[in-house]
Amino acid sequence: MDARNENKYGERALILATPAIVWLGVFVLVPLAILLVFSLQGRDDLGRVQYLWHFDNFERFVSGPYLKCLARSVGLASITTISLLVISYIFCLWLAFAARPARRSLLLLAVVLPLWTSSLLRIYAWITILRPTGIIAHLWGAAGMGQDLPPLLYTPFAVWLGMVYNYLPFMILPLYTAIDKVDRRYIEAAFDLGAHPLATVKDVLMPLTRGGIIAGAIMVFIPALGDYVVPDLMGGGKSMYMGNLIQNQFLLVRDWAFGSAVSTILIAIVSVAIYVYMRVDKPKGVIAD
Amino acid sequence: MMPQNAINQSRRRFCSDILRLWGGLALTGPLLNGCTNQQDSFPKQLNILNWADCLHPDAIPEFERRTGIKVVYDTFASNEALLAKISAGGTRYDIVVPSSYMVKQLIKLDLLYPLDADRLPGRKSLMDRFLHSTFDPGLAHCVPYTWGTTGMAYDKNARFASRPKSWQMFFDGSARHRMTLLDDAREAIGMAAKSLGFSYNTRDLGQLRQSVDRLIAHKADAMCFSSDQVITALASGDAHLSQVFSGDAYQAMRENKNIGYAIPIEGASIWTDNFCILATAPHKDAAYAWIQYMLEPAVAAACANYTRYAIANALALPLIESSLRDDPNLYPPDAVMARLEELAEIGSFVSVYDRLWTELKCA
Repeated sequence: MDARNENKYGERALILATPAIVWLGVFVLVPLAILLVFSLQGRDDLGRVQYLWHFDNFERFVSGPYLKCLARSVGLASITTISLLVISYIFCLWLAFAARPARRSLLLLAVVLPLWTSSLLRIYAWITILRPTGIIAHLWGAAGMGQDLPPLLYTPFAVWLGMVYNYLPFMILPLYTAIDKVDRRYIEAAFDLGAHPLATVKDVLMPLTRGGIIAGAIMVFIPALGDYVVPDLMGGGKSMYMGNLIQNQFLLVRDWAFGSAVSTILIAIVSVAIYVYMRVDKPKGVIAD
Repeated sequence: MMPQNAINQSRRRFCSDILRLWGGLALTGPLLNGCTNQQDSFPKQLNILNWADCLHPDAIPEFERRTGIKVVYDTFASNEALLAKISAGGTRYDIVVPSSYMVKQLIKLDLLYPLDADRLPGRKSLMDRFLHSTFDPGLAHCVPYTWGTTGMAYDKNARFASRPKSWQMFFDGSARHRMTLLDDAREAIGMAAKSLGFSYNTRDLGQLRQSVDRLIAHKADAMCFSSDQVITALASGDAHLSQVFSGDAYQAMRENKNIGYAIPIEGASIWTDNFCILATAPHKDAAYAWIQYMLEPAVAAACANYTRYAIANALALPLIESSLRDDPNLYPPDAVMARLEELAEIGSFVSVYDRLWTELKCA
């Protein structure tokens, strides 16, 4: 390829990439810049942004009770991701290796089907099931277990359940794609060499499906970290998570500067997490290609 | 969801209510014939932002039928949410319904459109005490709609040790995991302050700290913080004890006969909800038409009979169901009025409340 041609390809590539670059610029970089600028400002008594250029918002975040809120969010997102990894991995193993092929697509459809209705609606369905006079409470009473059902709705358990339920398809789909692609002969070889089924999963399947695991974990962890709908509806608005904290600054107490600072912090944490993931994600082991 | 025939039925009921009420008003009728027939001069849309559960479901269809104006209706759950929504800009709301102190705050922020009294002849029918409001003297920017108190609702089947009458019940574990608090900084912090003997409008940092700490200490006992799900929680029996707006408690009572409402002995907050036109309203003529329509005694009374809130309209008062009109919890006698406190505009102290509220939720 001569230089002239290469230049021509370069130009064409630039032209083709322009829409994406403009898109990223207008809808990602500009909003991020605005967020960063606002995070350095203050708020006047009437709730308007006051241009002060200081770091007070960040100081406020690390000195107030907000770190507790951050810890709560990271905890929730981690527990949600880990529970989903376990549940989905078992389900996908069964789906890929044990389920009858004719049923597979039907079951996969069933995984995606709930996404066709509003997630709000599905959360309200859970509220109907979990509330003190709900379906579980009725069954509990009918089974003669008395009145002492512990509270289900508006508890950390309910928030966890809602999150796991809500993000299930986002974990199953990348995991299933990865597991389904694994060459069955590796597994046969492991069995032939006398590996225990658990060892086969741990030493053969998991390294081979590493990409799917990381994709699923990222697709769940990041939105879970900023989710505010599930914690609000299933948690009863008693405990704030990062998503609620940010939402409240903008939609309730009109402290855009502090809200921007909290958003900036959240974005920074997520970016660092992804960077670490990418650094760690170096292929290991003999059979990884 | 309501089945279609039930909606039709309730619509018929609303129209017949209005007819019946008009009949009762035959004598004063001509006086009140507002601008409801000037159909052609209106732009054809009106955007309303109102409190949840504060309007008869057929008030809008009836308005649309009479004027040909299409109404877009949204609701909010706290004054602060309303303020945040409209002060962020970019909304196209015409009518908003802030409570007393928020009217004053919106005026300070230049968000309200000064009303032309001549275009609202129906204002004459307001009770005297609403014409001389503390938050908008002379009613230059608002027209009072309904008013009420924020007290406590309870389930009579919950077997409390004594008949609920004090805010202390929210702090003594009486209804652990079955009580709800309003998701509203001024009301919730104010209630805790009142339970400690302070004012709803306290600007004393020490008192505020104490009140918020009391809420934090008992947060785990609460089922949830909510303002717009209280009716459902009470009606279904989920909540045994709720901090609640008076009308909401009575709406829950309509579905669940075991609900009671009390104005606590320590005192409670009293407020008025008011129709205002936003300075940025794109449909000001339609907005005037709406306020004038809602001032019609028959319409105001039909709404108040449905929402159970007390009414500010003197000519509508005779049309209120007597069971509501004679209820001392809805129309408190002077002795009770004396221990009610109006939520006041607290100026720059708003940011202190906001910050404490955020801390309370984070804790």
